[in-house]
Amino acid sequence: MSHPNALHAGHHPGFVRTYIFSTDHKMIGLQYLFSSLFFLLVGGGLALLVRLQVGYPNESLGLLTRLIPGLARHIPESWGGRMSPEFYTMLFTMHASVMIFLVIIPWLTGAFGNFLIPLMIGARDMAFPVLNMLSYWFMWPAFGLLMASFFVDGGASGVGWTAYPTLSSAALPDGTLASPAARHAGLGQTFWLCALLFAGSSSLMGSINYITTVLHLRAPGMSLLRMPLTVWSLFITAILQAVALPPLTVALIMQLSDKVFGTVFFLPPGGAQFGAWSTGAGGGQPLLWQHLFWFYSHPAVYIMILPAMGMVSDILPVFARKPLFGYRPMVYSMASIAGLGFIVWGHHMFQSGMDPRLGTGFMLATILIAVPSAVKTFNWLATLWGSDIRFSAAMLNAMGFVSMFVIGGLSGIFMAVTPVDVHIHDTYFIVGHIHYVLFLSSLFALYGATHFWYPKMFGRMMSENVGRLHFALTFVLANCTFYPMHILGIGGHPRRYYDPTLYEFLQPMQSLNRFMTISAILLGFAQLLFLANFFLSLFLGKRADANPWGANTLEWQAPSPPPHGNFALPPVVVRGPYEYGGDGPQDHQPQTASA
Amino acid sequence: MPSMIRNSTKAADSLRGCLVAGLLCLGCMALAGCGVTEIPDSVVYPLRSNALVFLEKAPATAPPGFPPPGKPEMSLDWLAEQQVPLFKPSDLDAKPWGPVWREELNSVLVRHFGSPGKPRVGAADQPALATLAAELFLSPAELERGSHQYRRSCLHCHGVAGEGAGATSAWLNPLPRDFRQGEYKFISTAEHKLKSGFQPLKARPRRADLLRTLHHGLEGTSMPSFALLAEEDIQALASYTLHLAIRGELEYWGLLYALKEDAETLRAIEKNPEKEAQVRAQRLISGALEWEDPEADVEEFVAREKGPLLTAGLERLLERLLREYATADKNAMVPLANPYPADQPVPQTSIANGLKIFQVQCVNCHAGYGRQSALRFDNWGGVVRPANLTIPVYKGGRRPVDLYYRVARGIPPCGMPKANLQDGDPAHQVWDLVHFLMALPYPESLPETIRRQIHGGAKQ
Amino acid sequence: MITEGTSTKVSGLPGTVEIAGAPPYLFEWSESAHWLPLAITGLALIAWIVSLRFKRAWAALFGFTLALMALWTLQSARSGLWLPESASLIADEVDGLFHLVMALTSIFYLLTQGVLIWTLLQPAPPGGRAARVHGNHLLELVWFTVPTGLLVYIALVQLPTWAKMKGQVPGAYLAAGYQPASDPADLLLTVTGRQWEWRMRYHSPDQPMPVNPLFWAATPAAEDIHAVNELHAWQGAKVRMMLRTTDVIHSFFLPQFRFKQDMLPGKTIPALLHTDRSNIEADGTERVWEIACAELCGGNHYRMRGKVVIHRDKKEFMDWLNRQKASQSERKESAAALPTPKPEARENQ
Repeated sequence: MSHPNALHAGHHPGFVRTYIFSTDHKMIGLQYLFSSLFFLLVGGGLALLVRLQVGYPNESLGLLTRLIPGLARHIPESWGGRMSPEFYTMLFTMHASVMIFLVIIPWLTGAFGNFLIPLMIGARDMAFPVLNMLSYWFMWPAFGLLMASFFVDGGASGVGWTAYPTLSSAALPDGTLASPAARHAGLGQTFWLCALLFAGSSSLMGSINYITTVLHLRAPGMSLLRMPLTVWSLFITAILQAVALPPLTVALIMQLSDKVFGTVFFLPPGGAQFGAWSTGAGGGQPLLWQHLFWFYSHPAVYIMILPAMGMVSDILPVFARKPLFGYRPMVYSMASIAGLGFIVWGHHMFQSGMDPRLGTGFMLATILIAVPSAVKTFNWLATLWGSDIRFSAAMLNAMGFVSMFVIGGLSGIFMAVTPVDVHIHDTYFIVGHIHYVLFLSSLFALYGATHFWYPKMFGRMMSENVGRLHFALTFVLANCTFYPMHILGIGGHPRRYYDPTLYEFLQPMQSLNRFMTISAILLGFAQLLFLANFFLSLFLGKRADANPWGANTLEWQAPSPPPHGNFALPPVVVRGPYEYGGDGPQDHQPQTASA
Repeated sequence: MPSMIRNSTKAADSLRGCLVAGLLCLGCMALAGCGVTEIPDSVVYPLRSNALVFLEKAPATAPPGFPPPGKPEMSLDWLAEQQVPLFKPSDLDAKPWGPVWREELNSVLVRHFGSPGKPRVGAADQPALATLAAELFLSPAELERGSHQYRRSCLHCHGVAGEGAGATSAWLNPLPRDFRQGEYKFISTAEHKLKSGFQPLKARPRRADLLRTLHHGLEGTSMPSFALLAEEDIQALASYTLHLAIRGELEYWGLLYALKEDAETLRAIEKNPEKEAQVRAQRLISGALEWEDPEADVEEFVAREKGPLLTAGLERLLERLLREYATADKNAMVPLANPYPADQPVPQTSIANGLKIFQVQCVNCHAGYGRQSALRFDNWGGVVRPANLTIPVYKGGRRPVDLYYRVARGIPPCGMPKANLQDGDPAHQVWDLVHFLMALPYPESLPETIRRQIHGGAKQ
Repeated sequence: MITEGTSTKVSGLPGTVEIAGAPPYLFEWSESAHWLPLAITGLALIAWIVSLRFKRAWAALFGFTLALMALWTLQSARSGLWLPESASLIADEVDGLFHLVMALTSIFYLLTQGVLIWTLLQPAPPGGRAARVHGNHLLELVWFTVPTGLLVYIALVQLPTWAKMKGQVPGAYLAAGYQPASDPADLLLTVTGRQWEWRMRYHSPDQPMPVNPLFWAATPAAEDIHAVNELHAWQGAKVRMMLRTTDVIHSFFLPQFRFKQDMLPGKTIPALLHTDRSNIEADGTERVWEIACAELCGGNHYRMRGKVVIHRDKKEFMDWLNRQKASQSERKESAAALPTPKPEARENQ
């Protein structure tokens, strides 16, 4: 049933052009998907090591070194099986960096952005296929540098993913690459900066491509307000990235040149003293980094959640068999989140020494950004209301997203109340909040989307029962792992502590810390279910037809998997994407006229 | 309606699920079971492998700049460039008797000091050592408590055997102290006087000196204050530090006597080349005996000794070390009474006199009042900077009496001599110098002319 | 599951330490009992197995998670694993705001989860077809305006507290435009963070207040009194702290005061601490109030532990300060300062 259209007829690229240096948006999307899944394992492993240390700070982790011999260097037996505090800082820094820059962003915008945008708007490919290929291959230096940094002198970066100067940037006047500030702030940090430069360039190329594709390559009849919300969200995300990345790139280059060429962008006039070491005089300002970094990294939070919102908005109507409630308000709220997202970065800096009067302005913007998020939540709930829900794995994950995003959003309000933020800033409350947004929201959406679009990607179905089991375990265990973090944070438990039991006021919380550690280990194992389901279904999954879910959007009109060039005939769009239910002959009406 | 969304009720599905969950539980229990608080018996103190530094006369200055972070051992290369001999324990392997020597040394150390899990000082079958150890609060129970606390608070800088090379250490400057040479910088005891011999004259700390460092930290270095630990833990840490220091020093001498090439030893070996090991062990014994009885007859001791010679020598040396520590309180330096009344401001003349003494005694090393100090080597082979005295950061404590100790007894391990005060009243001279040093960082405290000279003309 | 004990066991290296007076928590955690996460996993498994036949079991899974969180939150608040003890009036105000936000967000959370679970439990619409409804303007308007109203209320209600903490009003703890001349403080000190400890330097009360405390913070005086990791003041004192750092960013965190302020390299940040309560009991024992570092400052970030002592009155504080001053100006070794314990005493332990 699948025959390529005239343009691509007889076009049979070889193995390398098909699977490695492919310019086909679908293959590039899959490449992003597979690398994200690999780094999900890496990042998850790092997280478990962090949790083990926090849960059992004074106990031997010796068994681990027997399971993973490479760790013996960092968890020596002569220390009674304890890891060094520096190694611990490296673990949480790299966990965050890998998860944010190599998993969530590439999976959302790289994998699904690439795979879905042309299919959903009825295009044959991206506007700039070669740029698209380049954007994926720019990720490889980032992968390589971040992984290599584990093995360089001093180890991978250990200054937190926020990389605040002067801890991260301090350098000696003699140009030594090792940092006087900390063992894990030397060459590893330089590698980290370079890796982020590559990942940022990759994102920038991708976003230019997405914006152009969405604006110029829509099928006839696909007006902007007939686009599925996934496309809308990826489009808005692309704009966010295109605007926010340049300041980050500048900041990265400035820090890099502070470290390597001895400039002093982030070094105060008096320099910094580390025991007998002295950096020499400076002339810069450490706060500058925080402004530049958060000017990117706060929008980056929305980069990591908006596509998830879009995809969930596409999954819910399919399995509720009911139109999405309030299409336009959904679009407007995403746009306003993106707009407001640019003027709230200061809420990361209420305690930084920034002028407190500025804080009030940032507080107001931060409070307001909760409104569109609330509107979206109510619209999702209204979509479910009075519907006939099909409990597929994709649907369950999407409902998990709706349920958990509420917690992630509401806990954000605590931080927007500046006096309360003074207390909970840099405590586990923040860690809990970010994991509710990134793990329990974005990752659930990603799991749901992977289940949902898997048949389109590979022409086979993932196992529904294993998928549902994976959801049940993940949903419960993730809550066990991350919800208690809020309670620790309310009690004042600072984040990034190697041994909290040193403090009397933290000792009563240690039992909770252990509970979270055990839950996290179980949670980690549960994710193997998903990976097994994903990889085994490639070979064993049931064959899927073009539209197994009975969905309306254009990608389901193409064969599964779509051939090179996607559509046999250019589709013509005649209606919006969410015509489900109702009393007609069919319970759904695809966007194209032919159906 | 699509066909794929079906709720399967197959029993096989649920069975599979239970199996998977069971496996998950097993994996979790396996991991959860790894919480063991004991230090396993397999953990032992590593025998020293890095080069021994023995500076009979320290080279005058070090190259400008400290070794870069992560490369503390670079200063040893600089020392080697200056023709200072370094003694590498691996050189023992080249000597025919070397492995036997090392094995014997190790067995003495294990017998008398145990392991990190079960530390002790003095084997139980030697009551003389046990009595001395008890006097120094080095009971096994105390040491075990200290070892646990050490693992929690100290090990990541000072290392398993107190070698000052834990995981954090290489990024610190000044480097964490290597306890294994039995040398101390900020203490309050006078040096021993020995008539002759090869033994260096080391001052031993009073327990109070160690406790002071633990309580207050060393400002200006990375050694923090541990005052917030329980007092029992601080005491246990002091004991355990002594344990490591004594163990390390015994090891140090045991290795140094095997490697050192001083003229007298070489002469003795030349006479009896095939008995080099015995000759070296005898030198060690004579060093050990000399402290208590300079006239002690080494020949007689050797003749009497039935067991292995090195073991006997090391045990004598251990006893000697313990005695030295036990008598440290008696050797405490008693500061001369301050001739100026305590309840009145220090007279400006005293400060001016102090400056005069400073310009004769101190200015060579503390050039520009320490602002332009040239770097020097210390007895551990590291690089130190004579303090910048114009900022009020005092590593060894800021009390007047602390400064008195620094001035009056020097800091021998890093080449700072005691002030050499010849004419005039010593009490006045020392205290004048101390008063000057205390006023130096504070422009308002200095007389007008001196302030101009040191801090420039502007008065804030 | 809920224990009645009044102590929590924490395992440290020196064996198990019993913390007296620690609040009871949901479960007593012992070395061998790692069963609770397993039990919860088991419940999720059961939900999955039941869902193979009854798909509404998924509502139970959502409901169970909701119940777990609610129970957890309530029990935490009840057992004292909650906001630390409050040491000042500003801290009380912060707690009030916290509980206000807690109440509002809880209502919204219960509302949304309730709707979700209720929806899941509903039978299929008649004929298996839901109505093709695309939206409702009135509803959109309601759920736009109601949250907006509440959020604006939250934004406005916090402003006075923020102003009191950091704004321009007199006595604000971190005045945006710090005026040395009108400083209301009655105790002045600098806190200097360095890797990894807090160095405190008190301005001597014998000396007149410096004309410009910011300048004094950068230039030590001979009369200053030094301490490490210990912040002392007296009940009712307004403490002006000049926050500085010599190396990297640290964050001075006093949980009981709901106080947290980063120290920026190259800057002196003036902060005012209101000490309305003392942590010295009537019988002279001290409740431990700790100082923590809240900004990653290197490997030993977790080691920057200090303590706060708020004496009951100024006299008690001055006693401490004078003791500190005396020990700092010792001209000879005092036997009392650093006692070497008697061997008998040590052996008794």
